[in-house]
Amino acid sequence: MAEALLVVEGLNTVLNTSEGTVRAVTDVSVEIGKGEIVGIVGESGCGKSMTVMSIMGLVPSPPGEVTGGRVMFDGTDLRTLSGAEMQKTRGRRIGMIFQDPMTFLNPVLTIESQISEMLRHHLNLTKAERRERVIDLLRRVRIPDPARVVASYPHQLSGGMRQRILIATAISCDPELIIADEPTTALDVTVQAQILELLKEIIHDMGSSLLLITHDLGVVAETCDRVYVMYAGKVVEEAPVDELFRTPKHPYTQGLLASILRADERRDELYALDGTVPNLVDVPVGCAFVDRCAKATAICETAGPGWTRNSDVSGVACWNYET
Amino acid sequence: MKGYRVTSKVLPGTRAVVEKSAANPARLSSIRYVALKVLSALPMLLGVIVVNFVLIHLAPGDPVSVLVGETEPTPEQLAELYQKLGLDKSVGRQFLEYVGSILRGDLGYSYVLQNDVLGLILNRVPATLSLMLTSLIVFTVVGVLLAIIVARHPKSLIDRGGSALAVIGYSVPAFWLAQIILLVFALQLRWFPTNGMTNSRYTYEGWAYFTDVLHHLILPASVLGMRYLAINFRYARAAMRDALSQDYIVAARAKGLPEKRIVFHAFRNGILPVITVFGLNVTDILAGSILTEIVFGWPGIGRLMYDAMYARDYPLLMGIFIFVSIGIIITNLLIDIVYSLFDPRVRLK
Repeated sequence: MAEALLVVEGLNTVLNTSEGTVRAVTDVSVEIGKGEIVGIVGESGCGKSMTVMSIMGLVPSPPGEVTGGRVMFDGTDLRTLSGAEMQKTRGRRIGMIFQDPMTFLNPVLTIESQISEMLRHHLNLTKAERRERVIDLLRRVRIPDPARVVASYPHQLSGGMRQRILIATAISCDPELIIADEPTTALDVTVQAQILELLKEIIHDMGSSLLLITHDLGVVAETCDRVYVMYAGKVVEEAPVDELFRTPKHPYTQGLLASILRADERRDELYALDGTVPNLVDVPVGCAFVDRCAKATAICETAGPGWTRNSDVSGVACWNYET
Repeated sequence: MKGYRVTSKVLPGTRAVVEKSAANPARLSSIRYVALKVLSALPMLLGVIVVNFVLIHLAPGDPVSVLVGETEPTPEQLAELYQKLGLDKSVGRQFLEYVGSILRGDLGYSYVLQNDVLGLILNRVPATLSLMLTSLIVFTVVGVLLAIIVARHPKSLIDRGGSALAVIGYSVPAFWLAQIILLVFALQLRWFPTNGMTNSRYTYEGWAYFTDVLHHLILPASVLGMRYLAINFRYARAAMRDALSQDYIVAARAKGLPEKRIVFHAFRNGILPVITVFGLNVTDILAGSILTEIVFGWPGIGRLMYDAMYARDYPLLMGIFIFVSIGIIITNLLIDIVYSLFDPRVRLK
């Protein structure tokens, strides 16, 4: 693995709700090397988004609260930074791309002002410099007719165009790390592929790293170098992408892979994982996956599995994983 | 944290695009929007004139018989009067002449006050506008500012307290509040005059005149504005809280923008319902200003209307109706245009 850029260790985030404390993120450790593309995959509600919000220091409080762990970014623990220092890191050194490009763009401000404001606050560029850089960024994300698009508003653009705008915003200050939270989920399949291709290319050109959050293993296969699988707020498996697809170890990962439809296979029946993610207010004592797991044994009910490291870059949290 | 600079080079050919972008094509849609709005106001104006015309004709009694009163004119004299007043012509003809006279700015003649109606109204316009607009604008701005502060601390003591006060603020009837305020601030404390727009013992000019009017203005404007302070506070608070919970605010935070800028993002959206409500309030405040003008002896249009009603001065009343209606249509037109400046989405639909 390349030199580490972001090292998250033992991250814990809870949500204090009226029904009790929701353990949204439990002991999550994630590492991203310089120039690497790393995926976090898991179904809705497994804590992917809360993990990135915790990294960015953007967990809404109340009800959220980061209760422990370290977020080492380029040698500094982001959790120890003051609000002002964190503000200079967000957007400037860590760019973020969101899921729904309609709601994450301000409907009443022009595209130019929404990109330009970052250049003003982080880079102190003059008005003319900002105009030039905004147009340059729009060209970089391959927006046709950027001279017209700068003056337009989000509702005047298509979904794919808006997602390109979000990417342009995220890369506007040449950040070392980009976090993309489900960047293609709201888009048509054809547009998805274009956006992923663009994202990979841009990350490669800038020499930055990408942390890609998705529920779509297809996206992971196309884009990532390494991947973390999350379930019920915990990382259950970590592996390089080809290894994960070739020899998945955790029963949950196996289940996810088995439910993918492939063009080169004929199936009479679709496979689906039974059950849903457990309620994170009353976390089970044992393994969180036990109720849905085909390989569960007695110990799975009573104790959570520890982390078994298989190599430098792979590991699994399961009592009965496949070797 | 160590220093960090932007390293990416500008793509070749960007310069040319930047120069091209200087010509902004977005203006065209704004001009078209304004033109459309102005055109759509015209039928409304016509509607107001028609309603006013019908009202005059529905009014009981024959205008000529009112004019002649107890005297007993000959049929020839009556016919001459009808002809002189144009009442011998067809209804359609009369309507066209009515429209023509309004277009010329002729709103009729008040026999009670022996004066031209338009002149009488225009005389009162500065007093009413200074009361209405000061009150509406100052208290709307204050209400919105308070809401912005409060929206950032939801469920705090000032949030709850402010909301409770706001409910009281718009429940209290203006005539009652006016008398209480008069009793306390004018009669007991003697900080402000009880009545009028200027001190009639002196004839001030320039700056002294301005401060004298301001001194007289504070009490009536506060009574009139209390309601709008409360309404705008509630609207803006809800709108700001809604805006602050939107995804684009999360995005703005993720961009590392300062808090000031984040509030600006919310404000640009939260102000929209306030603009709409402002338009409604302009109409609403007219009713309030009649009461306030009467209690405080303010020489405005509301007072004029009140006097006209007591004197059964129909030409003057009708003149005020049409003048006020046109004023409201124009105000709403302006509000629509201002709204479109704040919300680009309405411009293209």
